[in-house]
Amino acid sequence: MRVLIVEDSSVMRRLLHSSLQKWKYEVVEAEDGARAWELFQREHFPLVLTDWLMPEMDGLELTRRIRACELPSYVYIILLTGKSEKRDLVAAMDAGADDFLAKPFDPDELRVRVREGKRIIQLEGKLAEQNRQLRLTQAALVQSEKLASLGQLAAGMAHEINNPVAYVTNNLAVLNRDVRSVVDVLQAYRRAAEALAQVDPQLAAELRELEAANDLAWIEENLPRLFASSLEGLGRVRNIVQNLREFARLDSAELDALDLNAALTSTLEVLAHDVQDKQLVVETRFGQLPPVVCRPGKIHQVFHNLLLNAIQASEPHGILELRTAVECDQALVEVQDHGCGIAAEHLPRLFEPFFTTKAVGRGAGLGLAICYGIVRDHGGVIEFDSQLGRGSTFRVRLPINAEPAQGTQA
Amino acid sequence: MSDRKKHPILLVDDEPEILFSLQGLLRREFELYTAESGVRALEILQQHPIHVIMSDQRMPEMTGVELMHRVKDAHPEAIRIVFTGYADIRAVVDAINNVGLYRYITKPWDPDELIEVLHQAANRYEEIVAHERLLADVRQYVQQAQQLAQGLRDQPPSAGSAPLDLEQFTSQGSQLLQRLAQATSPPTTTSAGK
Repeated sequence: MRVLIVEDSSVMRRLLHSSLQKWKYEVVEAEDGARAWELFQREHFPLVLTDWLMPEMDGLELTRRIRACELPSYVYIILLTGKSEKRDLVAAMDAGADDFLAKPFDPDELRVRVREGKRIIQLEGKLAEQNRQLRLTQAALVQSEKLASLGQLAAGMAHEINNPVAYVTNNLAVLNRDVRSVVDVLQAYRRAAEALAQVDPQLAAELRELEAANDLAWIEENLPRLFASSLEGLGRVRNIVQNLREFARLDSAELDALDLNAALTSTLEVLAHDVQDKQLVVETRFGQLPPVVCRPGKIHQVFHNLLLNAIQASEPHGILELRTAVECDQALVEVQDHGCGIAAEHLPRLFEPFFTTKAVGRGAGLGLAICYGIVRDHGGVIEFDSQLGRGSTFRVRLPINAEPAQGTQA
Repeated sequence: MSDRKKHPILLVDDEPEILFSLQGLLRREFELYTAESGVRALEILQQHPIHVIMSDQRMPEMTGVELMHRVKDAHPEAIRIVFTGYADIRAVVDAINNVGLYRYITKPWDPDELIEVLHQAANRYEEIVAHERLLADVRQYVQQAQQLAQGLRDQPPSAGSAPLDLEQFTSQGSQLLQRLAQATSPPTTTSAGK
């Protein structure tokens, strides 16, 4: 542990230094308060042992300054003093000192007082760590609650959107057919144009004008495309609804025993084209895995989404690593890329539905949300590490001997 | 275009837009009736011979499956189809066995597929009706045969009319046998489709 000694008397400094060194403390010296403050601002000292009376900045002022700082962890301050008046001690404690050591000091007393400080600092550290863990757990809890309520919202939306999508899709099919009928009739009328011109040249001319004004030729030519494009758009809406339902797990699938290594291999085959496009090198390190009882279609989907993300994140000729192993009764699947990585500010939102960094229309932001939902329903967890510019690792842990909600074991 | 008689079909959905949309799709190929509630659907079934009834599952007051229960009792010959949003699939699939649904169709449906399914349903109706008619004819024939046998026992034949009756009767019998032979396996109404 690092200790800062602040003392204007060099003899005293040396005495303190040699004693503390004997007990394996790492010691830094300062000859007055100003120098100590300078050092303190540059580096962290968990324990400060300071003389009270010094030129320029005294120990009390140094203590006040240290206490005024917003520090990540506690600094234990011991004042060295010849004063022993109650009033002085109160003033020192008011300034923020933790303990006193009377001058001239007794080495044993120094030893136990510093040891006490060390104990307090260690306790402090432990407490802070526990606090941090607690905050992390709480954040994770809030996150999963948030995702759960988003799931409900998604389910409700999927249901509400369904009806209008159903009849708009149907209407479009009807329109497509009926408009074609109208065009057929129109073309039949056109065949009568010559006859009409002889009987009623003025009406015939009017009709020609009307056709030109409305650019009938363009309409006839582009109607099919108009329908095709509308149908394609509706198809996308339908897909999104479908994905939302999957995130909200409205569909159930049958349970079966799945060889995860084989599932990864077959998913890779499905994506072989994308891998080749980028000339990626896929390195697999598969461990011995027992069959995992799960909903195979869903797990395939998780692998597909994770692999596709990894491929898309990778640079051409990059390396993609797939690993599997058994760890604490869980099957572990790791997908690691060395691509662009994920910006720190995006990490907390990674599993939120509709969160995407892709351009509008390139991805709905549902892939990882669906993965999260599926893995959660299997009683597993999905985690990630990512560094911007260095790549990401996604880790899926599935219980091997779990009994996923409902259904019989295969 | 074709003079073939269009099959009467009853569509039931509480959303008028769906009914309107389906009418647009199906009007050329079927004779359409529409109802916005189960109660209204049952009234229409009283008034018109309906071959196929297709109902939404999720409706206020009476669900599609409940409606089909009543239809099964009151008009067992009508082919029953339920179409549904995904969330209700469980209920509908369970109902297939209890209510004898012919098919269920998920919303949003594929328009071409829907037309195809309705044609199949109408054909199924024809098959069932033909089968019923055949059964009725056979039943009637057997009854006549019993009467004839009874008559023969009570009153020995006189030389006049009997041979003529018998000749006609036997040819009727061989026609029936032919129809029986041609009839494919008896159609059922409990097929789950797909």
